[in-house]
Amino acid sequence: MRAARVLAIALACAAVVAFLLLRRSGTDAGRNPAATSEGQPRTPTAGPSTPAPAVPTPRAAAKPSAGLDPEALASPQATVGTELRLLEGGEQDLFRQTFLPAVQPQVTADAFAACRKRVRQVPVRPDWEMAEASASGGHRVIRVSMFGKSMTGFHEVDGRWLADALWCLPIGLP
Amino acid sequence: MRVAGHVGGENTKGCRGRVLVSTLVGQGSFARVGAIALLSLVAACGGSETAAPGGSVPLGWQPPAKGLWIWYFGYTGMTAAQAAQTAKDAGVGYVLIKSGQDASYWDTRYNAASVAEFTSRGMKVFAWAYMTPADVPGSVQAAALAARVPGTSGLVIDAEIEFEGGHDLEAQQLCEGLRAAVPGVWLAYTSFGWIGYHPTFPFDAFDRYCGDAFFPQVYWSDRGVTWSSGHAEAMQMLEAARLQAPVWIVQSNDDTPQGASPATADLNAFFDLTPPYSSLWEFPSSASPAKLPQLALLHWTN
Repeated sequence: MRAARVLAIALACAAVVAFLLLRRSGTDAGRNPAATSEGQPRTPTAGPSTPAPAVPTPRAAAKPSAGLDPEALASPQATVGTELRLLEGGEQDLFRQTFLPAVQPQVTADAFAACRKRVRQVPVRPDWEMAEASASGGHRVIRVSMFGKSMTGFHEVDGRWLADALWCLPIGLP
Repeated sequence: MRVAGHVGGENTKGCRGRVLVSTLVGQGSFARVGAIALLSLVAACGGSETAAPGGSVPLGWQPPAKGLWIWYFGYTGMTAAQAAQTAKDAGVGYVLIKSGQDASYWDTRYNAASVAEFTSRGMKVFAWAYMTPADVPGSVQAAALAARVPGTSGLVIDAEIEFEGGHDLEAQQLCEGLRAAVPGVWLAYTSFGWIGYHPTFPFDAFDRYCGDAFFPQVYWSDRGVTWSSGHAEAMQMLEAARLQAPVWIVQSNDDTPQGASPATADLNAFFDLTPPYSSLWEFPSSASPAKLPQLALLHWTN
């Protein structure tokens, strides 16, 4: 009787450990910029100037296994390269994940199409040499001019650098 | 309040009509002699050292030809000296080199040595800085440093989307601050080309306080319209806005939304139609090598 109780406790403990291991593994594999709610405890100071990643979009949250490789967003330069690759490849959903959650709803089909056109019109040559480093809401931010004019911020969120603006849209043209 | 030392003082109201005159020259069938005479009138309005409404040209300077915008030398794949020689060989009369962004002055890029590469080859040089309303005092300090670089003929403030939405006061403070910091500075601004689509941009404030010239960015190829329709709409909007600053119009050699490079003939038609100080955005990137030889084919003089 006592042996059976010990066995039951052992099985329960094993189940808990297995659950925790699986949960952690799944998070790492499915990490994507939109589904950052698990990263929130590490960024409790997120302020209003940094769009809070608290509410992942349903689309992004529903596709964790289709998320981008963290390496694709490992630096601002990597993020820009990834964005260009995704634009070229027509990967709108993945492209959306390269932006801060607050910006992601702006990545509509029309915006995506406009961006695809724009990057074919004008060489994309961010001025990294004059990029400015700062912090916002507990995140590191690198701000860079993509076309010589407005600056785009790239925010480090859980090791991924996410853009705070849809920089590839043409500005000021009717 | 403008600071004394600003060149000029004669108000030549006739210059207000020069946009329409130049349009007629380009689109009509005037005899060549007539066109030359009209263009001479245009030059007299905008290019002498007497003042045009709202501003003047830098002391002792009449641009020998049209201008070319440069973001930074790195993307061109050239040194400043190489870029300057290329511009000179093409026939460029003046260049506008980016000197900074908001409160940042880029002394590693815009400095006496890089400016001298152009001035020593007979070209004039403007500093241009992209500015937002975020830090007006800092922006004034940074741009003032650029304006004081030896060889600099003037300063052009690039103000765009960040100034839309009720930033008239910041625009005024920026311009007045610069005039106070650099007495006598030739101070102009550049912004959207089709101004009628930007009703909340403080054109009036910039016109009044930074209006030694206005460089409207009439980037017809970016927009995907013909040079003629783009120019015509821009001119209509400028006339309707009744701005006073002399117009130094800018076109772009960016590709169209369909991915086609603007034809040399179209760029030239636009240049031929616009007054002598119009300019081209921008010095080609090394990523677009086909655009480089096009520079030498453009009509840099009217």
